[in-house]
Amino acid sequence: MPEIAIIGRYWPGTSPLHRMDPRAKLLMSLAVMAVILCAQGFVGLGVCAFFTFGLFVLARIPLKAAFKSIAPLAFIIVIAALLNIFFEQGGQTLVQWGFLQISSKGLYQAAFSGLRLLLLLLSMSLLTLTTATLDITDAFEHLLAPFARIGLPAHELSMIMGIALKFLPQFVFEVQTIYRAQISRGATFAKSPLKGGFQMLGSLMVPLFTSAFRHAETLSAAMDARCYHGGPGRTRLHDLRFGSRDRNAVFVLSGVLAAVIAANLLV
Amino acid sequence: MPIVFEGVSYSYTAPAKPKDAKKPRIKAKEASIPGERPAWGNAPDALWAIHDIDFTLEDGDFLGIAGHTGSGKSTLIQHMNGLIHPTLGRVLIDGTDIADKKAASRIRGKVGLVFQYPEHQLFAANVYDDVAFGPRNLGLPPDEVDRCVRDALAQVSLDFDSLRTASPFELSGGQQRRVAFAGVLAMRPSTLILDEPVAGLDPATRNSFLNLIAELHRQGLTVVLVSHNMNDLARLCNRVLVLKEGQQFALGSPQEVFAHADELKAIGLGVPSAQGLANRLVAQGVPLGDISAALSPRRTAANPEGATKRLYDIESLADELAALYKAQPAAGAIQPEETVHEGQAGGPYA
Ligand SMILES: Nc1ncnc2c1ncn2[C@@H]1O[C@H](COP(=O)(O)OP(=O)(O)OP(=O)(O)O)[C@@H](O)[C@H]1O
Ligand SMILES: [Mg+2]
Repeated sequence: MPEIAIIGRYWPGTSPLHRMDPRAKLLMSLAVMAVILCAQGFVGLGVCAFFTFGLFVLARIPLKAAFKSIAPLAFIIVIAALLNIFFEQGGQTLVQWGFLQISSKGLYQAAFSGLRLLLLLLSMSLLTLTTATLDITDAFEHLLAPFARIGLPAHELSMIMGIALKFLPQFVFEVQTIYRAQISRGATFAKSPLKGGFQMLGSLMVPLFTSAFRHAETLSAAMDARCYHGGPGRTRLHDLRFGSRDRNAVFVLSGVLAAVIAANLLV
Repeated sequence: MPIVFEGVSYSYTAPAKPKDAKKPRIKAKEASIPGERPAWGNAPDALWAIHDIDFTLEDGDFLGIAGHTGSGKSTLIQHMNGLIHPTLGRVLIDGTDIADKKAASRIRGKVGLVFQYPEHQLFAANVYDDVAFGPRNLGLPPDEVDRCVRDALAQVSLDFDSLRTASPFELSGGQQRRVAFAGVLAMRPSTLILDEPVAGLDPATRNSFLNLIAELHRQGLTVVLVSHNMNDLARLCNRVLVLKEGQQFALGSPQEVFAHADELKAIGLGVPSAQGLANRLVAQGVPLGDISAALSPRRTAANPEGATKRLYDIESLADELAALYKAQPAAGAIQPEETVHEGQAGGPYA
């Protein structure tokens, strides 16, 4: 399978982080993001960075893999930083170039928001790196369950999400194969989008759609054959259980939040 | 137009970009450190999909490629028309390195690659347009395109007039595959590479496909056939390349390669059924192969491995057994041999 998961392909492991309850992990990763957003200065961010990297060490995921997993989103960081540099004004003016000027405040803001975004992305990728997609959708379903009472189709939603996520790599893989097959037949996808461009695009998209329908049909037949009917009364092989690990995670995170707030107040 | 593989290795985790293919991103030294990361496989940090492949595909060859699932067959053949570029080593066609994008696109018309399940790549509204896709991309004039399409459809025995306006999606699976096949043939390649072309076909369609491939080879095409079916490989190919975990495990004539049934079995492959039977008979002491000395000991200096000297198909095996039966002294059956000793692997085995 090609490496495409938009943010962090599952990195198999047995670390405490891998074994945490996925519901807890999902909530925690939201909480971690909230904590990172709380930080108002570099010291606070430093605490968060220390914590985030600590988590990667705990999960035994090499930093290189972590950065690789967020590489496709790196442009967001760059754009955010650039916007800050040019539009955030104040303090000392460092460079003046026509109507563009770079001020010390802009530079500070750029570094700050760049770093914050980086940490946000890293902590988000940590969830998908340490949790299999199926577990994430399970957690998602559980967390949505209370809303089922007001008519939200929680189970269906998470099933759709789970299937979509599962098939994403498959489709990327297939597009790759189709692309190569058409290249082998002399297709050129790079030039002249008008002259024959639509046919080129069609030669990719039509096979992709037919394969999507083919997969949908086989999958629904397979689910039918296993008597799947969704909804209530469905039991599962692995029931989710909160454990001491999850409680500890809450303690640690509260500690980090306290440290960040302290940093905000004191510095 | 010989295709030369020179120490080709490919890694999906660190593929070389076409433009900087000259400078590999993995240094040879790093690549050879053992134990650092899994050397092969699809773990996130596994290194090589294929490793150190070295051979030449000569004009007029019929090369068979066999190997267990995931051994790198598909990866290997995609190097042959420059779809992917070696991470290490190089691929030369006609003496020019095809790492260069221009060189690669120049040879695409000459090296036709039929992917696994090619019918999944059909897209056009009618059969004609789909088959014409390749020739049109080559920039041929319409009348030339028309001739290519007619010839290609005739080659795969599809009726041009009744099918030209049919939607490819209305055809049966076998017919769809023929259309897809015609789409590659229409480019008039001189080398044809087929990735498991008969997977999932019924026996009759399967045979007619294999016959078509053999016929194309007779007409002068160089053919590369990836297959899990050893009977087909033994029957059709003049050379067989066996891959194991991305490495070249054996390369030689079918006769040389299939003489080593045990090694092949160890990596999950078989030998052609007739040959398998012959090997077993020899192991049991049936003196196949030298009828003149019908009852002489099998383990001669000339044949230390006890394997048969030739590659049997069903007819030749039956003929020889019949001859053996006739030559048999009226009195007794063939004497079983004493214990069979395993020979050392040698010959084509790397
Ligand atoms: N797009 C890809 N991304 C990452 N790894 C891949 C990709 N395609 C193949 N691989 C890996 O490369 C190795 C060789 O794969 P390849 O498809 O060449 O095998 P194969 O011999 O064709 O197998 P099969 O008989 O199943 O078709 C495998 O370990 C596979 O997991
Ligand atoms: Mg394959």
